[in-house]
Amino acid sequence: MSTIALGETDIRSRIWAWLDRWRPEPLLWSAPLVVISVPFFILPLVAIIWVSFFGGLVTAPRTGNFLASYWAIVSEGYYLSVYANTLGTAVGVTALTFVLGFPLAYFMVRWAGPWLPWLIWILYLPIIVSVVVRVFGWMVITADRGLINQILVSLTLVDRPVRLLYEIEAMTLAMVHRYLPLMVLPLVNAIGKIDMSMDRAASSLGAGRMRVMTSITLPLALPGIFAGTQLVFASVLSDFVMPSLLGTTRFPMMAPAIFEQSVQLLNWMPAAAIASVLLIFVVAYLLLTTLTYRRFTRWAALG
Amino acid sequence: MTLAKSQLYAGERAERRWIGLCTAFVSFYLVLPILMAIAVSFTSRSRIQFPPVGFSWRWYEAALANREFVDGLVMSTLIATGSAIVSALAGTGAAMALRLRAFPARTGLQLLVGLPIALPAVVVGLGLLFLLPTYGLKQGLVPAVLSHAVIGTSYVTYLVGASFANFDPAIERASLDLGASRWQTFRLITLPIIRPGIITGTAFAFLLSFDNVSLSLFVTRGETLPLKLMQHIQFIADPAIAAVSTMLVGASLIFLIVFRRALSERQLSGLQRR
Amino acid sequence: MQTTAAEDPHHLEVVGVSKSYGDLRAVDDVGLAVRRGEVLCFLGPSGCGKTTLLNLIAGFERPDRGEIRLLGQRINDKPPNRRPTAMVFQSYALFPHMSVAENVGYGLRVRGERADVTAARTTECLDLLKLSGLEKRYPGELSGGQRQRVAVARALAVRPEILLLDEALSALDKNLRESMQVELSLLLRELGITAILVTHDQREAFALADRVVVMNAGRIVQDGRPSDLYANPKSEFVLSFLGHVNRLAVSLVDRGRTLAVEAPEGIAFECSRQRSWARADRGTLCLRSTDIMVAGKPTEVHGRNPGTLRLGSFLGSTQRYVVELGATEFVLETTESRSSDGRMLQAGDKVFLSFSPDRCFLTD
Repeated sequence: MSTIALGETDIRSRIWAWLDRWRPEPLLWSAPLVVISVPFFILPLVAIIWVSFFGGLVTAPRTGNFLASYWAIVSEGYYLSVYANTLGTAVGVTALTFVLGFPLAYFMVRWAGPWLPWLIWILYLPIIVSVVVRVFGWMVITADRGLINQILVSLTLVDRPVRLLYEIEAMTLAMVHRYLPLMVLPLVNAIGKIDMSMDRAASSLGAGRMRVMTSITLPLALPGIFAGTQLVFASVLSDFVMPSLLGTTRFPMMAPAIFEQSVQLLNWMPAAAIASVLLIFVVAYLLLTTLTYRRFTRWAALG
Repeated sequence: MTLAKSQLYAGERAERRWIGLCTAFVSFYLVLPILMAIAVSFTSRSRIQFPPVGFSWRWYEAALANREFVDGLVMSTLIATGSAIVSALAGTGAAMALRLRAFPARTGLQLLVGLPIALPAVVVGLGLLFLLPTYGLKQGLVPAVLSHAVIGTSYVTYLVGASFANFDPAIERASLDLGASRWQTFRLITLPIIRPGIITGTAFAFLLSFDNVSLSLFVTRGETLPLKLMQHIQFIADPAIAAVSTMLVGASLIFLIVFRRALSERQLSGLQRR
Repeated sequence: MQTTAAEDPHHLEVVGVSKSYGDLRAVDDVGLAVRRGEVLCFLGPSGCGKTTLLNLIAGFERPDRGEIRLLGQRINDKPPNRRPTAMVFQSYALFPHMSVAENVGYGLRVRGERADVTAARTTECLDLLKLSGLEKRYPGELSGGQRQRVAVARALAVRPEILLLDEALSALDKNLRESMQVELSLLLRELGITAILVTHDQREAFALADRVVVMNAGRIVQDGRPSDLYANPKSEFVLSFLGHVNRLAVSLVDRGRTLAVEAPEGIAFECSRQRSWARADRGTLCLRSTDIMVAGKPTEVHGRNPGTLRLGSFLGSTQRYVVELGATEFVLETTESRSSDGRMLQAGDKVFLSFSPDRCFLTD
């Protein structure tokens, strides 16, 4: 009798030990995410790369040279300028968002006080208000008879309106506006984690305000700087709305090019190839910055 | 966290003044285009011009009479509601899973949560366009809801994850220890504490889906509101867009007021209470 | 719920329990029996396995080997919510979104207890912990001491068979901690509840527990009443864990029933063998700082050479002196503040040390 009882508990312990080891709980919790992510995120990325080489799916399968579509999109000067334009814009916009975003983030954490809720809502405004609204607002500002030109003309700084709309200028202004929150929020988070006493310690050891900023605050804000630049850079690379509504066809960018080649011209394989190149740019940038980040901020992993 | 004024020494005061000026400038820059869009919507002219001339409601009438806009609004609301619901469920689940320290494929799950925010949505959209026939789906509501939900899920996961940051795991143990089952513990302890994160995340998922262009370009036939507005702007940039814009801003503000209590500023800013 | 003591001499038994995390043996073959109504304390340095052992009893961890029995029944496979134990957590783990009353009544509500029973028991427990009037407050609005009381009240409200306290007082400041020790000690005895505490603070263990289990590296090193532990530590580890110990290299000579101890610092005496763990003719003399006295003139046997008083600190009811004797610095704590000739002791004074041979321990 007692041996049977012992056997039962033995089986139960084994089941428990098995559950202990394999812990099905996280798998159950993450099941819904996996169920939608695989067909609606992972497989589309696989499909892009597949189609760029081999065709198929919506287009006829390719036979022969698998690199033909890539050859097409790297040999033409037009496409090379598309890549250069897109990367250049991404660098410029990222730098501008940092320059504008850092003081804002710093102020929010250190000095804002009662203004903080207002600043947070102002920051969220571009996220909450539809992108088309923002585009339209920038049109009003940059049009030939828009805000900027009216001011310039009335101050007689220029005699004819400066062309801003449907040029790089309007597009850049609007992109910086659109992506500024993506820079500021990680910065606020990182600066908020800096202990104020570090600042004081540096001051009491003789550092001036500028020195405190460059030797203490900026390095300690690195996690936020990296996160912010990653988000902004990747977003600008794949932005469709701003280039197509505010930019110019003389300055083509990648996301509109993908749309044009695919949906409008039905050149599916080159479209997939450009999309793959865009994917490679983003992934390469993310990997590069992540590796650099690990190198520069070993301390962040220690805390 | 903020120092009282009297405690500042000269260097700090100068720093505060300069950075305050920068902040004022950047804040102005952030609100300016939205104010412009509102101002222009009341013009009586048909050109975009600043300052606006006259005052009229004609562009509001024109916007509301435009079937395209109204249909787009209905479609976008449907898609956004659906994807917000899916995001809330999947995102809360993912956050619950990620909270558990070590398990096989945790890194994989982290990537699955992080990548949809970082990787270009146009690429995913084009890939989906290739795959939709294979899935037996047509461009429209279903693929839009599910593809938007992938991005929404990431935001819900992060915001729920953030509400776990100040969460003492001992309180769940305490609940179990006091006799509550796992389900009771989740319902009575965990859920109420992460509820602000879920609400904020779901609100985000709704907004992101409502405003999505990159995915909708490929997975719908252009029937969402942002796409209709884009077509309209490209064709003719008249103040009807401004009227729609103003109504959308109004809707956003109502949305904010409704969720104001649930969306705490500290949570949105990611600043933790010390 | 109550069973008579005769029926279950052992309320809780831990039999050969081990738990490892990877290569770390957190709890290593621990056996233990707790009687009903006993207040037991696991004492040891951090990482000694005391909290893991408590978690094993509460059900948050499963033993790799061995058995945990409550009232003679194996409870290894019971999840924590089906064990009649209740824990007071180090961080208190109060539910931040529930009021004090809701926190205290939580365990009864989730058990499906009737609302009036829950309310009555909540009031009773709040009264017991002197928390009346705070029912509607949220944990965030309470002081540290009040939170601590709520945590205890919440655990008591479910009438646990065994109350578990994990470093429950360590978050309080010193004065509050000491008054809470008195109060908790009285409360536990008044209720007659079986309680297991975990602490790294020897004073707290002694103040609260009937029986102290000293642990090190996952094992029980000694188990007994506080006074027995103090008087007869079975190892150097236990000795040094129960207060500051001064060490001095000595030579030993076996004299049959006693050991002759000699040190070049002018110390020579004989002591009983049972206080020695030393096996060779050389060893280390261990003296508690509270067992050494200062004297103004040479003492007959064990303090012939004078030392120099380096530092005297006033600690209130006692004085702490640092005395340099030869190459060794002795730290001692005593109530005396004057030498035998009535002078106040000062740094630089020549003093002689004295101690009772049966207060010393010898080790290798």
